[in-house]
Amino acid sequence: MKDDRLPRGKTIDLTCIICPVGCTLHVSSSPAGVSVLGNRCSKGAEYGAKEITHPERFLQSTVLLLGSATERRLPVKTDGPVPKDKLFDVLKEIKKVHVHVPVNMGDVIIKNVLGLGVNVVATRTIEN
Amino acid sequence: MLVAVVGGGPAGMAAAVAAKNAGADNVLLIERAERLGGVLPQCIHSGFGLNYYGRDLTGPEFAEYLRQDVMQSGIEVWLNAMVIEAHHDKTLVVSKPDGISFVRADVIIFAVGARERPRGAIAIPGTRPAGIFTAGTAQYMINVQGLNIGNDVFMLGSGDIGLITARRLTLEGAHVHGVAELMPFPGGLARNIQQCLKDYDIPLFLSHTVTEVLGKDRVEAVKVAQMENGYVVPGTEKLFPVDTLILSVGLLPEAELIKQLGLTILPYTGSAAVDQYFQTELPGVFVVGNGAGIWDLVDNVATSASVAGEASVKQFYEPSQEATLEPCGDIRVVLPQRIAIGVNNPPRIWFRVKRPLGVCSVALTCDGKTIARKGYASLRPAEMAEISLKLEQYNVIEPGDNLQLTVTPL
Amino acid sequence: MAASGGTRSELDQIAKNDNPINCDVLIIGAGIVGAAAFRELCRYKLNVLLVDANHDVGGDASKANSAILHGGFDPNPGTLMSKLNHDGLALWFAWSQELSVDVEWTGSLVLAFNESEINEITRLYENGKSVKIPVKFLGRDETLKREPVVNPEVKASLYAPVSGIIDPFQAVVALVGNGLKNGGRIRLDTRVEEISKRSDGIYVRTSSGLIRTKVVINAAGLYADQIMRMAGENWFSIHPRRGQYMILDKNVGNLVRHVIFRAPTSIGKGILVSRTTHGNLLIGPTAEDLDKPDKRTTAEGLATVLESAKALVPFPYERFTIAQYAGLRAIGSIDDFVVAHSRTMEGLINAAGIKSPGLTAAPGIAKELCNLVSALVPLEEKANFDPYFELPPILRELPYKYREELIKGNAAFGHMVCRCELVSEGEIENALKMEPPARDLDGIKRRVRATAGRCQGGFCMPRIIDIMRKELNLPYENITKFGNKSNVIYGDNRGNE
Ligand SMILES: Cc1cc2nc3c(=O)[nH]c(=O)nc-3n(C[C@H](O)[C@H](O)[C@H](O)COP(=O)(O)OP(=O)(O)OC[C@H]3O[C@@H](n4cnc5c(N)ncnc54)[C@H](O)[C@@H]3O)c2cc1C
Ligand SMILES: Cc1cc2nc3c(=O)[nH]c(=O)nc-3n(C[C@H](O)[C@H](O)[C@H](O)COP(=O)(O)OP(=O)(O)OC[C@H]3O[C@@H](n4cnc5c(N)ncnc54)[C@H](O)[C@@H]3O)c2cc1C
Ligand code: SF4
Repeated sequence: MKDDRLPRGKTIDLTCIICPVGCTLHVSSSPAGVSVLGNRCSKGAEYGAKEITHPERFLQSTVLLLGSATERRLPVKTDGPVPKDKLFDVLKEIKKVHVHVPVNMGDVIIKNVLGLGVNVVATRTIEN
Repeated sequence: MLVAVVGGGPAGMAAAVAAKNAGADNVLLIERAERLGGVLPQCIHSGFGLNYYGRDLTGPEFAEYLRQDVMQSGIEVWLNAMVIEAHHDKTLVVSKPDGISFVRADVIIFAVGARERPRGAIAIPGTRPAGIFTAGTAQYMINVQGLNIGNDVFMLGSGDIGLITARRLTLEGAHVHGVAELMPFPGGLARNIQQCLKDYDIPLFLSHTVTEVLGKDRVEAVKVAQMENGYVVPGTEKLFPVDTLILSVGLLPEAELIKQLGLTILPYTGSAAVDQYFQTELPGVFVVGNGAGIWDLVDNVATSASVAGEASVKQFYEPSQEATLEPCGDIRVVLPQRIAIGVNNPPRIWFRVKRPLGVCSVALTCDGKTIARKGYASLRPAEMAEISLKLEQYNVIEPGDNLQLTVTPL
Repeated sequence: MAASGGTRSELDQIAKNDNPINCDVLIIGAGIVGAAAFRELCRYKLNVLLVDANHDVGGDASKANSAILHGGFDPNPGTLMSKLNHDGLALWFAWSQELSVDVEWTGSLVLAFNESEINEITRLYENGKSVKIPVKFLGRDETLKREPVVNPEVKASLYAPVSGIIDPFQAVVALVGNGLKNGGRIRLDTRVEEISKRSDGIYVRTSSGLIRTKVVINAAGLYADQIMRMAGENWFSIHPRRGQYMILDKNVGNLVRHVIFRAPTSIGKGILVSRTTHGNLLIGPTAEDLDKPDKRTTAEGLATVLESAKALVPFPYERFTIAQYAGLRAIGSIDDFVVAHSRTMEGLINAAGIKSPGLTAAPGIAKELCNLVSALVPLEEKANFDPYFELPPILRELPYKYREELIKGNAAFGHMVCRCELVSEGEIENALKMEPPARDLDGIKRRVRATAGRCQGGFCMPRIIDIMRKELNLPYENITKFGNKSNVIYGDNRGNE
């Protein structure tokens, strides 16, 4: 994965991933600040600005589940965005852990993963 | 009154809950898998629920919310139970681990979902080794079974399921060498091209296809070439040394049970014609969700299935009192294909276009007369769009009318 | 695959050191020919061993062919092929009952679209008459009455009521299963690499050990000439002729009632349109002479199949296709079957150049092989030979009452795994337990049809993998599609095998 951070004073075109509309954003940054064009809502502006300064992603994966008769994996997600260049480090942590049934949706599986200020939480309830 | 719902995916769960809430005495939800949720438990990514629940959820979360509703509504659920036959008198034959059951229902709601088109359906030449999976199957194996299915992967088809699987494989440590798409435009949403391919530097080859599979025992390579009017452009063939080929080349409604009832299958949805309540030509038989036509957003699936669930209890009408609706020109699919006349709520019409369109106008017409019109900033084949009719527009439609849906670029 | 390594003296060395497996008759090749011979030889008080290089029985050509029981009007009268076709066809009547093999006597129509093709079917008519096979010449109208969907340009046809379709893989499984039941033995993943005759028997070196036998039957299909060469027999050679096919959805299986052929050309019987015993539609094969074995399908080949099938029976086949495959015919350097004692090694019997109608002729070939064996070792019938064999029950073919009973005995019979072909977990367990057992995904597909339906395993393959893991106690990474290195999975993605 390449680092998307661009030197100041550049512009990028990208697709907004915040909602299914998928606006094409034209983002430029200069010492004066960041400008975003093409967004249909404020969330898009926020996203575009972040993408040029410090891109982030929500991450979903699975962890090993033990003790269930039917399920071998528990799906999980981060409850906040992770810096894009830390995604694979967080995945490494996710691959290390395992959980036992019962698990409830929302249970914290890894607290404050790698000190990034976000938790890895269960996205499914598996009773047995 | 017994409402039997076949299939416990989002469509089946939403329909069952709506039927129960609308006053059905008994609702039976029959699911062949070991769990409720349909394809959602394997769709561990986010992007679900923005419309239906007003928040961004993962597939398992969306399914979990629906499951809780099912559990709290007093709906009877059979798991590991597969409907193997459906009869005209609304008898279902169900195979389950404690025997064969005959269910005699007053209403049947088919919420049976879709299946993926396999390699054989698109006839890719070459050998027949291990290592070829459809995207949904791959997703199930990775996310639910927890398996490593390939290290070096090529993907054919750029639908959303394929794009999401490409990202998932990358996150699991595989190297996705590329995605080929036969059409000159991507099949999936723009945001998925961005967050699934561009984020991970996975190349997308538009107007390309896999022309040959190589490898004796396991896939060893695939040949990919540029296509023009159905022919390989000479000199464009590339060899990708991969051990896995993933196909994301479309979904087809699971229409076998529906066919057993003698209902005609529309070529463009691959399922039976339905009205705005998702009722088929057989009164009391409904088809919802991906079993009625391919939706993309699970939110739309749940919304539309709820309409059917509620109507299954309340709405019975003479099937002759209806107009028909068909897609024209650049409209590929329209739902419903029949419009019942004389009911109180004006219908919502769902449709999908054949190719990406910019600013355009969609019109519902009858004999050249426009009944309703709506403008769009853009329309894409990957998304189902909708027009909600107003009461005065609906009231113009008469039994026997042949309505058409057309789109005009502006 | 030629005899590699090992000089004669080395082999002697191995013979002394290793304890060879002993048998009276060794059959090389578990295709339809080897399987039929195995079943027949197990009638007698003999120690019979069947070996094959593959991971499962079923052969190569025997699992990728047109699956037609040919009427017998095609081979030239007087040839061995003509005789054995005739004998085999008659025996399939009895065998299909004894072994519960799916056979349907659909009858066949050979269509003629021009004068030279009319001459051709007239020749076939005469062939049929001279070997006493019922054949009828039909004019255009009668042809269309019999089979309304054929191309209305048709001028005439040859109708052969005594011909039909068979499930060739099931036939091999039943034949091998019957032989095993009657005391025969089998070794798979066993490639014959060298054969040498010594005073105390024929020594056969294989990839899984040494075998000492009195008689060797060479039923190695496309590679029968290699086995002959191992015995110093060089007069005969085989080259592959590829045939590509398309399989169509069961929804359109009933397009035709008969097997529909086109009048033959010099290199084959042409493209046909036929139903399979499972209810799918089959179109093909091409006829492409190759230098070396190559089972790939090609864009051109599949286009030829479509085009030629449409010329016979116009239909939008491409919309209903669910699978494509290719088979290799073993085309010998003489235009007849070779079923005879070796010219160079006493004790070796060859069944070589068994091209079409080899499937039809197989029972006849087996009887002939028994005759040849009797010249080498005495054949004495076992008193307790059991000619019957039944495959494990297929649920969808049983009345509900019987399904209930099975489910009461084992809940797995109520649990549907393959949604397209309606195959239960119990049937898959049976496929893994029966003799000969399925050991890979293709073995399950061919025995009970799971993954053979319109979704081609999209839904059930992951579930079958779980069943195989449980029943066979295999780690995920050892599960294959068809043995060898055809592994489906590279393991658990959280390292928890
Ligand atoms: C891989 C994939 C990724 C997706 N990603 C997204 C996304 O990111 N965002 C989004 O909004 N949507 C997404 N979707 C779409 C969404 O998941 C579907 O639209 C939705 O699941 C369809 O719901 P359904 O209930 O109609 O079908 P399904 O979810 O397929 O459920 C059908 C159910 O019926 C059962 N069934 C079928 N036949 C029988 C029978 N004879 N007897 C008993 N049970 C039976 C099946 O086992 C299954 O559980 C995705 C879909 C797929 C396949
Ligand atoms: C395209 C096509 C269409 C046909 N259509 C028809 C038809 O409709 N009707 C009909 O009657 N006939 C048909 N035939 C012919 C028929 O399929 C064959 O004649 C028959 O299957 C040959 O059986 P076999 O057992 O000799 O060979 P195979 O099935 O090829 O079996 C040979 C076996 O020998 C094994 N073997 C080879 N070498 C070794 C070795 N060194 N050590 C160990 N094992 C070895 C192989 O692994 C293989 O399993 C068709 C053939 C083809 C290819
Ligand atoms: S800018 Fe707003 S509307 Fe456009 S895609 Fe982003 S979130 Fe959606």
